[in-house]
Amino acid sequence: MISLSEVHASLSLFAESFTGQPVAITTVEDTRGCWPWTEAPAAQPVSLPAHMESRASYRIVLLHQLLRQVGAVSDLLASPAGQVLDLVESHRVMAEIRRDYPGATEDLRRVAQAAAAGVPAHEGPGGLAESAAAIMALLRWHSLSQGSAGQTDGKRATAVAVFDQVLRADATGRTSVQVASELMALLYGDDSLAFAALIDADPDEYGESVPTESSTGVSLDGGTPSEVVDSDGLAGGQLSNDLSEHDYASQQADESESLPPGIDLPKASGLRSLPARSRTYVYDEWDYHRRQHRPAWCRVIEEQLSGNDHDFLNGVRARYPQLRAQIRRSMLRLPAQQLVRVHRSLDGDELDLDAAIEAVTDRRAGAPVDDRLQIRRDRASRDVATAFLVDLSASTSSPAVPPEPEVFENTADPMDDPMSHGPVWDAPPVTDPVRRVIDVAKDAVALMADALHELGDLYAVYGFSGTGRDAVEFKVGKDFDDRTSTTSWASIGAMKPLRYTRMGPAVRHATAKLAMVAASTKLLIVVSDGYPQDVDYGHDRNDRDYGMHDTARALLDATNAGIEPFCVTIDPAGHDYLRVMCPDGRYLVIDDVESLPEELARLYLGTLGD
Amino acid sequence: MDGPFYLPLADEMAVFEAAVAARLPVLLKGPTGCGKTRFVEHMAWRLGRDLATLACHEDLTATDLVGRYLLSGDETVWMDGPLTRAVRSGAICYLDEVVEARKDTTVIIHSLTDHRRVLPIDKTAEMLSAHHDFLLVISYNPGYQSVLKDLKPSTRQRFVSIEFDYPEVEAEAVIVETETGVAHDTAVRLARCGAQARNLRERGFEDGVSTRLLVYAAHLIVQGVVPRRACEAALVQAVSDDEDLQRAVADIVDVIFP
Repeated sequence: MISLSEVHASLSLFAESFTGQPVAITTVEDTRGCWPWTEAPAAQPVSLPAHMESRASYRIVLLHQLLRQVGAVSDLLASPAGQVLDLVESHRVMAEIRRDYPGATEDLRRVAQAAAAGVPAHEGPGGLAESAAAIMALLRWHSLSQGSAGQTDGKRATAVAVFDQVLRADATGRTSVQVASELMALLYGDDSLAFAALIDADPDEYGESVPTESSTGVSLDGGTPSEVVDSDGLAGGQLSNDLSEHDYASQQADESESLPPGIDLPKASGLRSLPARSRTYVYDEWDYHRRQHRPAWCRVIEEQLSGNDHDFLNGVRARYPQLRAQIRRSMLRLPAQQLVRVHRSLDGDELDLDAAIEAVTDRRAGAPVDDRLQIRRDRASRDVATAFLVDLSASTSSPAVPPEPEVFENTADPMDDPMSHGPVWDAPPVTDPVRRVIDVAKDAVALMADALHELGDLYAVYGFSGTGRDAVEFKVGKDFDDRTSTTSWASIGAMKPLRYTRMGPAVRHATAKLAMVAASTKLLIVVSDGYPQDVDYGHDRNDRDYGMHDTARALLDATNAGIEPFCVTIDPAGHDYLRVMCPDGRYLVIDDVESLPEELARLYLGTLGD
Repeated sequence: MDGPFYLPLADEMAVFEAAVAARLPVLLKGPTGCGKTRFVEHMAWRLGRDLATLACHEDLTATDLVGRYLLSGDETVWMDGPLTRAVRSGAICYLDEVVEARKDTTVIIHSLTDHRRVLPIDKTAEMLSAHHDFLLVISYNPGYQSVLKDLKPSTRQRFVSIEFDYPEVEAEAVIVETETGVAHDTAVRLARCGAQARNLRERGFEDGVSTRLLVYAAHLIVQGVVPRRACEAALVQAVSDDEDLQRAVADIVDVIFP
């Protein structure tokens, strides 16, 4: 048996090679939760069990899900129509795998056989019942055992014949929908309800229509059904237009955004939807009670931020003109900026005397002469990569400076003024929008990033938050290989307070990203505003030690991977727990939020200066 | 008629020929191994010109291009560099991956690529006017995203740009088949592997599996290596050192080949 965490990284890359964009993988508890052990359609695009017997099994189950073009939605999960459609599409995909992916055929045969063995005998081909359920079981068995339906006659034979239409080489998801509709008519005498909208859709609306040979005579083009269905036009609302996986995901993307920060969500269910274009990663978590890792415990959902504040950087520069100049001056003095003299070069600015003398004596002695006689000056390139990891927990929305109590000084009664026409109260004073902790943190990071960009250093800006181990949110403001541009600054500006602080997995993910960067010095700077905490960070919600130990472990692993981690915390009580989390000298506690930019710069320069 | 094989994918040949006729320098843009060098070789052959190809690297200086004095006995002798030779003889000079070279090379490129068409050789105090047929072609891979290694607008705007990318599966299969004589079926499978692996371009390897690598794999197959092993050697190991990425590419090969 292997666990999903062992193969998750490579499998999600494998999946991405099919779709051309990130594929979010959802974990289900065991194999019964996904094809081929169940024909119940998965609510999520791609679901894999937490454990399977081999990597090959994972791969075939994943491949099968990737090639599906039609998937039912939750409304349809339990209905016959959903099951029929799912079974038909599954049958089609298996044929496609046998045809186009010969290398996976053996795996397919193996898992299908294992699943077919689980179909109870009385539902198998031996039974005589003609009930819809029995025929469905027969079809399922027929599909899994790959075309050996045995002796069938009457309605059963017709059903199998209709079912096998999807084996044609040109069959697409659309063919599956037609076949499913025919089967519904055959088995339940009902094709009007579930598929009416699909069949009756005017093909002209959806671009070029390609007539098919289907006995129903409808014309549907070869795209995915998501283009055909209009959710408003559906009878009974059984199929909706989110048959396409990506639409489904994007529709749900905003659902979680609308929750007020800090609200208690149910524990990770595995059925939570993912924003479109997000990538998922699975990490272990350190359980200090058991002194071992919990394998594949956390799922990190990485998403690219995008913002529309294209003036963000100018705002930051304007707020800290002096500090900016100071950072720039200090940066230029960093040691690695010096010129390096390269002796014995072919070309250069000055003669290398040693080499010249050697060349003359060599020549006199009749030895071969080395003609590299110059000294070249090279600008040594700095080789530092820095990742900033910013805490985006809900608490960062608190004001950076506690509001001072209002004092009413104007006690003069306007009626005392002989020139007054009556009481004129002062207009409420114009106040700047309250600066929150997150705003200061963003400013501090942006200032540093700006300086690093000018220096030509590699840097990345990430934010993290999340709710529960299944949804650790990792927001990318700027990644190492993103170009610095107005867009990247706007993305950094778009960081906003979200939910909880599960720091361990975020640190692990940032570590993984830093590990992929080629640089001799790698820095990870975590900017947070309090304890690592989450709804299920530890066995007991109030167990603060669990999160700290997990974070400490993640930071230790980062150090072992050649990364220098630093924690900067805005929290007057920070000393206590940071000492557990970080090695000495690797942390900084700030009680005055507004001093963060200065302190961060000092920390950075101090690190590189020594 | 036996020139280097090149399968045109769009109108790149016509544009190149027009640029040659107008004596305009050409910039070829595109990922590694997609056929830029082959294209230049093919065009040089079509036009009947000599070709000097120079692979640029971090330590390539203007001197390496222009020439230098070498010690010879008791004296120094001037030695023309490859660019100078091409400028004198009217060949096509192809600077591959020009952004890799040191910054001092841009100075020479600038004077050669505008109306002046001269090569200043400061060590011999010579202003060498380019031969009528001389043509400068440079290539540039925008995939390498480094601020420090970007082509400056002032350089870029002196060239006619032709953009290249990896061909579609069908065209790539034809290329692989023609280059190596591998069975059509296998060529299509290789091209499918390539196309799928290129979907991972953003993930750690900028350039994806190149057509060149697919041709290598096909060569190995023609030599009798089992397809899976050939792909392992030519594609999987070549694209990245990242284990997960290798594993994913190996999986693609594994499911596509029987």
